[in-house]
Amino acid sequence: MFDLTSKIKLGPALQKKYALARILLHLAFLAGVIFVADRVLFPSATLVFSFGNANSLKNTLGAPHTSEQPNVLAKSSVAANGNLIFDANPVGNFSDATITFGADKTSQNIEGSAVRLRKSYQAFFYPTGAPIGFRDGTLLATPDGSYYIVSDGALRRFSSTDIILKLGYPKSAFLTVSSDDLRYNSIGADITDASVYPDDTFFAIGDTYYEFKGSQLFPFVSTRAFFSQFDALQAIIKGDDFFSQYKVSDSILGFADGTLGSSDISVFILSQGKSYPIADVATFLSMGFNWNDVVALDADELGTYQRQKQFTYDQPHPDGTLFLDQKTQKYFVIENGAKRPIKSAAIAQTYSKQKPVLADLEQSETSVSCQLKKVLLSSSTYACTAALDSFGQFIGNDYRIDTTFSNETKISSIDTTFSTPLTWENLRSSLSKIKENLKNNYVPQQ
Amino acid sequence: MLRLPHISKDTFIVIYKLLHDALLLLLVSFAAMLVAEGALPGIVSQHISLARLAVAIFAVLGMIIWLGKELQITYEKPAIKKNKLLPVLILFAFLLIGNSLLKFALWENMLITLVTLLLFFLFYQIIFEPEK
Repeated sequence: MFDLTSKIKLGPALQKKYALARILLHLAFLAGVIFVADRVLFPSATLVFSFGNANSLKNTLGAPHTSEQPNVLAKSSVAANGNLIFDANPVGNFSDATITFGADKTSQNIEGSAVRLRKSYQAFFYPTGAPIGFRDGTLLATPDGSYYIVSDGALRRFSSTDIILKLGYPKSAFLTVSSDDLRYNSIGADITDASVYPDDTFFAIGDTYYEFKGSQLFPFVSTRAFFSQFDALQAIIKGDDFFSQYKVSDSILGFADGTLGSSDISVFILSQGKSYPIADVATFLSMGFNWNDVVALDADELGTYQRQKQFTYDQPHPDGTLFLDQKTQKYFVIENGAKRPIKSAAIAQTYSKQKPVLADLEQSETSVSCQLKKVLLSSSTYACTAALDSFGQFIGNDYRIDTTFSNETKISSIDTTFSTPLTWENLRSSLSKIKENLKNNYVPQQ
Repeated sequence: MLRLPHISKDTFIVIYKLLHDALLLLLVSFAAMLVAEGALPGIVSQHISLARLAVAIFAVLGMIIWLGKELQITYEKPAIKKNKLLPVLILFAFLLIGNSLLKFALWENMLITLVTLLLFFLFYQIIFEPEK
């Protein structure tokens, strides 16, 4: 064996002791290698939340809330039949999850309480909101000969075709839809004055596109930004003299909400005037984004957005993200803590320029469950383990954990451990993932 | 004199030898982890702290130095240039640096790697050059 101290000679008795100790050292080393291999090939992740330090950065689970108040941190005291919902975002694929609740010593027994787990994206777990209507600025025509513009969310009918011609809207920009498609927008006042443009009219002046709102012209930062949401046809072409009639706003409009933009080696999610730098490649991929959807931004384009803190894998997709249910091919738009369905194909067409994130509604409603049991040698700790095998290749990076407590209790801490049991199948799966990652790193992509 | 009177000098010599064995194992492990990290970033560091391993290596080195002094074990200064391991270590460094620059074109990668190794060699010369 390799000996770094061959020059130091030992007596026979001492040499024997040294040889024995050396064997023990190598056995300990072997145990260490097995430990590391176990961690790498059968990964586990523990995520925690402490109600005592609810604002601590050490909390790695999403803040618990109730179904009644999804945006408010739940109180640690839960009534009988009350629920606690929280999100867990472990990185990787796991075979089972052990959920442990530390309860106050004075709490009642909560054995038998049901814990339910589902897997999807955090934003896709948002409650379903009201169906979304046509985008502002969309020009619509119905078979009965009515013409509309969507202005400030409402449908405003042009009282005559003369007004349309006088205002200069290109006829080819009107999208023919059924009367049924119109029911998802509220009804606004008719447009009767041919001298006043309704809000959300688009203009093309020189090389720049503008949105008209509140008697001001809001410029788009680039033609690409305008085209990320609208067609060139939708804009009325005007000359420079138009600026004498309306003031140009200092606020600059950007890309469609939910657009992915890149600058240098960073990728950003652009939403509502804010840019969220995506933390790393793993986060980008875990959010279901596609590299082909990333737009290379120039300094001016990125400069119009207010830079936010890093976007990490445990955050929900921001407002404006478009989800596509892979089974039903239905679209959902994320807006103010709700996923708003797009109920009509005509409305979906106006969102077609946006790149959707693939999700699965049916999968997001599939759950596995387990029942809490008292942990051995503990009076106030309850745990249960749920097998995650049925989630298989479910889309999403978020586990939604929903517990309904059988008795009134006061929870002090939640501990969720995702693990991969030592089986041949898991070993094969881990090795195959390593092989795939190696291929991704070293084999040039087509 | 040894400052721990309850343990015999022989035992300390055995510990001293064992510490060298442990150091070798730790260095081999560290190199293996560096290779794994180079090939698949995060594969080890996601689960095991490489910094802790580095601290363990320095701790073992510290103990070896301390025990060596206590046991009055001295070595001749090793002739690094004549060490048989040197070409292997240079090749290892070459591959590790080259691997980290995979996104570059092959000629850029080779150039940067060779210049980096040359710089390391020059640093070595400056640091270990015998004083005149």
